[in-house]
Amino acid sequence: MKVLVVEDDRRLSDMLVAMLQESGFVCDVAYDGNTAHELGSTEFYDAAVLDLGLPELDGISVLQAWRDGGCAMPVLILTARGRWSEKLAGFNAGADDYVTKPFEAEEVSVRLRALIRRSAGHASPELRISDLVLNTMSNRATNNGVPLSLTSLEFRVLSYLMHHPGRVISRTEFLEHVYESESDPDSNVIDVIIGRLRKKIGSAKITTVRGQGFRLESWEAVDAKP
Amino acid sequence: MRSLSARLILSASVWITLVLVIGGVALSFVFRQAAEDSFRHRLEVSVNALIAATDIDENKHVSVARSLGDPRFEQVLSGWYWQVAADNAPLTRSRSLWDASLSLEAITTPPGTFGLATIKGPRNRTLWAAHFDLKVDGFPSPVRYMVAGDISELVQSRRKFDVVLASALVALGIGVLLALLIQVRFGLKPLRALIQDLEAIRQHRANRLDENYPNEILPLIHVTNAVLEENQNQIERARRHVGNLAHGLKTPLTLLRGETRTGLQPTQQAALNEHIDTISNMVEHHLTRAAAAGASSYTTNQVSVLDTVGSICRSLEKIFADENRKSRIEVPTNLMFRGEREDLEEIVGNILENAFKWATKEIFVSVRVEENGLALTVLDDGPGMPEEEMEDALARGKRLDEMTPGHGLGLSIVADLVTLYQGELTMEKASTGGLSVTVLFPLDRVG
Repeated sequence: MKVLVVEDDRRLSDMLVAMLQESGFVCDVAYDGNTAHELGSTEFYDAAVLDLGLPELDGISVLQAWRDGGCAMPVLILTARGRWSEKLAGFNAGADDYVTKPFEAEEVSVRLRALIRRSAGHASPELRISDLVLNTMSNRATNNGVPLSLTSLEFRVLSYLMHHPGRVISRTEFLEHVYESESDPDSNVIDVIIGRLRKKIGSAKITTVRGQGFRLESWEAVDAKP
Repeated sequence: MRSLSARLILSASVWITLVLVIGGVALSFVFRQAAEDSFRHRLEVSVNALIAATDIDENKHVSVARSLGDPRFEQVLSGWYWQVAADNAPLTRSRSLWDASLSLEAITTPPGTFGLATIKGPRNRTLWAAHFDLKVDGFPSPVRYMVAGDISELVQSRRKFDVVLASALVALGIGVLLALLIQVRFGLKPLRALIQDLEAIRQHRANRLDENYPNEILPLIHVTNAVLEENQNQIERARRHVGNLAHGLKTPLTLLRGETRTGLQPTQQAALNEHIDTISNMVEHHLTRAAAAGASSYTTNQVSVLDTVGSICRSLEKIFADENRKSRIEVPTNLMFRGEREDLEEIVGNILENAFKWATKEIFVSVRVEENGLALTVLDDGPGMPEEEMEDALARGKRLDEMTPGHGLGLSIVADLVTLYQGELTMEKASTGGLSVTVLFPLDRVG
């Protein structure tokens, strides 16, 4: 899952990014409002962490600009003041949740995961596709009740597939959501990871759609195959 | 003296009394002079008439040929007398003197001039006597022609005048004082209007004074408005500082919390986090108070209660989407709250956030205008709050590090804010088993 972190304090953004990466997120960082606006409007993110007190363009304006531009990613706002007026301004501009400083690192990642899951249309923190279960709170996946041992990239790809079951996901979309914007990986990397995932969860569960990408099949779909 | 009216009336009364008394004395003096002059003039005219009417023949026989005109010279002891005398011996006298005579022994004036003296006449009455000494052939010393009149007449008319004058002056004084009272009331009317205008500011119906005042009061209005404006600016400045301070403090606190994640024992980590929480809560609490402290005084802002409650409920439903908690709102559409938007949001936000945190399924918000104020009630269907915790949350000024976690901080901020707005915060067990929180704002907060 790729997240845009917008925080002007370098030490705090470094800490946030380190912590989010530890929790399996891929992060891009913006240190000011204008960069945040530009990144959010041009790149694909599964969610954004947005500090409200930013230089140049403040957080509320950035959020408004994103929403006005049709950007629908879930946004978690960070507020220094716990006042409701600031939170409400955030919510009215289109925020989905808030965390008040000083926050606990885990709180941010837990809330982000819940936001991403909900934005993909899942109400429960546990994503269940047939006997494959991904717990978004604990970042663990099981197959048939057996815990899966996954590398961080494998986990990100599986998590992205499980957030969007039954939908064809192109290699480019995978690259956009599991890698930082600056990195330039070979698109074959996705094929390699899908191959490894098929071995771990069963090859029938991920279908290759020629020329388009990959699809995680739901229980019924798997059953229907000969 | 504390009363402006009393001061004006008293000082004016002193002056008016003084002027009336001096005026009265002067008038009385002038009248007395005029009356005396006229009396003297009458006496002198009568002396002239007496001289003209007196005949002295070669036998030194003196006779007065005709009456002097005033019948009182004919009435016995009437108080008006004439006498012609030589060497202090009466040669002839008015009938009114009967057998008495007028004595002017000691008084001498050069012949050919009028003299005036106060003498005692018959019946021991005080008389004014005018005389004229004339040399007449055959008489060794000048013949003295005298006319005397009783001055009790003069005294009486003077007294009568004084009584009329005093009554007139007293009536005038009372009249002027009444006019003064009306004038003072009329003159001080703008001050009463000013009091009403200031009261309107206190009751949040206005935030500055109208400039529709007399020129003498306008400088006061300008200064007061400047003070009010300065106050507003100070509040704004304080808010900005508070925001900056919060931002400045919270970022290092977050970093500090991040630092605790590595290289510390879990117990040390927990202890450090607790301290960070305490600092953060204290900062939040006092900064919220500081931002709200001035705000409750001069604002005339009107905030839609329904909009505020509605947008907070929508935000909280978003936050608690996983738990699927829903709110039910009963707020009159046009109900306005007179006060700072931020403060109402803070109060409603904290109460509702607490309710959402503890509710099982549903939160019910109702706001209505009651006889004694604007009542906002939030009910949840959660487990409720233990009595002691309710007391804690309501105890303003309680040290934050003594507070139990959970319901704590948010509701204590609410309690503080509500007190600043002269409102009341009450908590009780709801019929649904959960917590019922009610805030009652004074009626002047209804827009």
